[in-house]
Amino acid sequence: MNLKFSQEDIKFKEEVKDFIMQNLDKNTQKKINNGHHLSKDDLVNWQKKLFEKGWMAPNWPEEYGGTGWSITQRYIFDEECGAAAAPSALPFGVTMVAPVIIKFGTKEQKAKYLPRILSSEDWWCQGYSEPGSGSDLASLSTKAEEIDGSYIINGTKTWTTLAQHADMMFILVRTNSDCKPQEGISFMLLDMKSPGVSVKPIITLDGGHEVNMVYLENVKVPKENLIYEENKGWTVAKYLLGHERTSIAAVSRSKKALSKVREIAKLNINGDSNLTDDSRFMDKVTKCDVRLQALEYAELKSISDDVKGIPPGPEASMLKIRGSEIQQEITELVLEASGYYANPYQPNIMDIGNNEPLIGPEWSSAAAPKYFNTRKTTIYGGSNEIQKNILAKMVLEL
Amino acid sequence: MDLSLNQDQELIKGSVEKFIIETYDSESRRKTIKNNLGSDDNIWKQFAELGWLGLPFSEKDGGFNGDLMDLNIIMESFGRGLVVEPYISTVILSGSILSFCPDSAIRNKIINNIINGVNKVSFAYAEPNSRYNLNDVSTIAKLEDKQWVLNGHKSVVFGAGQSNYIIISARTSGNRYDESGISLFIVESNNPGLEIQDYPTVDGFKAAEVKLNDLKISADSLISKENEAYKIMKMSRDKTLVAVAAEASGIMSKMYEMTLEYIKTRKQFGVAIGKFQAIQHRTVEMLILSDEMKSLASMAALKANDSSEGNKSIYASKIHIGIGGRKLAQEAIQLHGGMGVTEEMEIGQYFKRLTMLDTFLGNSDYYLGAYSKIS
Repeated sequence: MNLKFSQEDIKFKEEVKDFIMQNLDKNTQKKINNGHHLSKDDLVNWQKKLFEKGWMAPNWPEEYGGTGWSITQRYIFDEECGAAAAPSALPFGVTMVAPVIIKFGTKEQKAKYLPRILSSEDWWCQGYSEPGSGSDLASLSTKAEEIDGSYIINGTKTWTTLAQHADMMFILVRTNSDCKPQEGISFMLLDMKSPGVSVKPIITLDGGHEVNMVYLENVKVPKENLIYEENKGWTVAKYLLGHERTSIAAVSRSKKALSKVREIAKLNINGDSNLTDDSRFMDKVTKCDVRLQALEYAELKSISDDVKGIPPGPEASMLKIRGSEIQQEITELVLEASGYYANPYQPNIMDIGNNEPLIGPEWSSAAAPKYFNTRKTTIYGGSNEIQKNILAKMVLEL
Repeated sequence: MDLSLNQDQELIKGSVEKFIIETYDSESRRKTIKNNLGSDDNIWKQFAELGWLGLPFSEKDGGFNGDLMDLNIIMESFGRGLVVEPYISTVILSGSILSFCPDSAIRNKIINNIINGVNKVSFAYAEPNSRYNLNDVSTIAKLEDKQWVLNGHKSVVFGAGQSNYIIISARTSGNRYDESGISLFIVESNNPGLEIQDYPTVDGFKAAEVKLNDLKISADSLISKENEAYKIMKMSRDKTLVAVAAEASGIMSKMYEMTLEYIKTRKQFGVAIGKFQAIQHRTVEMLILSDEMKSLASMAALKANDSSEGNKSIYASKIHIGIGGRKLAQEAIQLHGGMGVTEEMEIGQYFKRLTMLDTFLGNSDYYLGAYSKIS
């Protein structure tokens, strides 16, 4: 066991750095650095560069277009992307549904969807939560009935992230109501352009439009879009959730964000002095850093297992809990550093073509909205309460 | 010692509670925010008619001689109703400044206009690098040909774009951080020497950057004693903090109640989530935090003028907004789950306001430092 980089690793690190420098759009970088929302183009343009380079899917087996990287290379890639404020690829395709298709999909499904995920031709969204089924996901009631060789789907999905751009949705639907809730769920792929799909925005408390309600009214899904077997969707969903929890830890991004806090603390924002002289503030930064170090090791361990083909266990819930808390803590630190310049509301200040004058420093321009928005991290992806239930049951065996 | 409200206070409490419940609905509040107005004229007029705009002013100044507990009562309800009208910036902060300034024609006229609801006033103290230090003043005022000429940049001036007058702290002598050498000026907001860049704040209020470019004003615009304004600024800030604590107390009690209601009605796993012990304990903690805020706000109102304990009780209340208030607010959102992060749910509106109250006039870290120094 060691954490050392080989000569080749160091060369790879340089290659990643160069790639990012040459391909990352400066305005996208600025938005990430300052906590602003990205547009669809910001993300897709970056993903297409990754695709051209063959780096879109570090988590896939090589035969499907994965990178075949060692754990060290994956670590280096994440680190460098984080450090340069490059976007993370939209997770719903490449890190969520793709591993499911690779594990459970038919040959045809693999051939049809995987290349389109790699090339960012399809934008995916996740149809899990429903208005009455959040933490208690298994109680979901969106129904799929088989009629004339197709499924007809009726129901409402909610909190559907970026569904306004989506071409495809992976969805959990009820195919049997006369059994334990978990045993009557199926996992399907739904074309968002199908008749009967309507998407309605949910505006979040930072004023952003990230999530949506998706109404499904007699939406026809061909039988070949079923993944695995009918009524075995819960098995598929559990497999996927393990992957989601691992990627949700956002270690490299948090490392970058925290180092940005340290940079901010060095600025003269308190008369002639700066926050590095304020031990009250700096101790909070350091406490956060300590937890982040522990999380980093835990995440590395999980990537190491992943490279060896060991599936994520319930411990992945720990990554999700701490990772989400740390993301929130960092937004609190930026908010505190901003002082009264956290007040101005200027959500579109970094959009191309926006000519509004910037109020206060660039780094504080989204401090409060980012803090508000980041409350979501302990709620989504299985709330932290649910993660604790999982740990209590699976690890503590209570 | 008697900690119950007197008859007058019961009357004020009754009328403001009634107003918030019956008149100040969230729909019209949201409309005021959406239309970028900062204030509803009709509501402001009612504030005047109900006597609230004159409450903290002395009878000599035409006010109702209300004490800090009266203010606490009003502000707690304003917190519960999430009032966006610039009551704090006009009546309490600017109003205190004016009332602490020596008698003058312009001072008396503007106080009268505040009480009647005719004028709104903002206080411009912060500067781009001053953070929370009132003594950090780089804006310069010079007397030239019997006129004051001011140059500088004032930051995040609440309500400036909607005010008729702006009070400005400026240096008339000494160096950047000196407590002496600061003076207060009042200027009509349409003066061409003022550049006012108006914007909405993240919690639905309005603020502006105010730049003074060779702003020329008459000699009588100096409303404090020359060079001796720091004490007035600090006294006004501290009085305002008493009001802020009460507003936070109202917000926190409301957030606790809304969350309690939510966990009683939201069902998952076949039962109301409030049936889960983990949720119960967390909600009880919210109750305690909210109760502590109410206690600290009341303590601050009662002790503010006590020379030895006053500052401590005021700072304590402000510290709790940043620490206990933040904790309560985060729990409220978490227990509301996904609904908590939507713009549509009221809980998020309270969350935002409480968050920003921490940054107003100095955050919890700032007052932890101040408290440690004096105790």
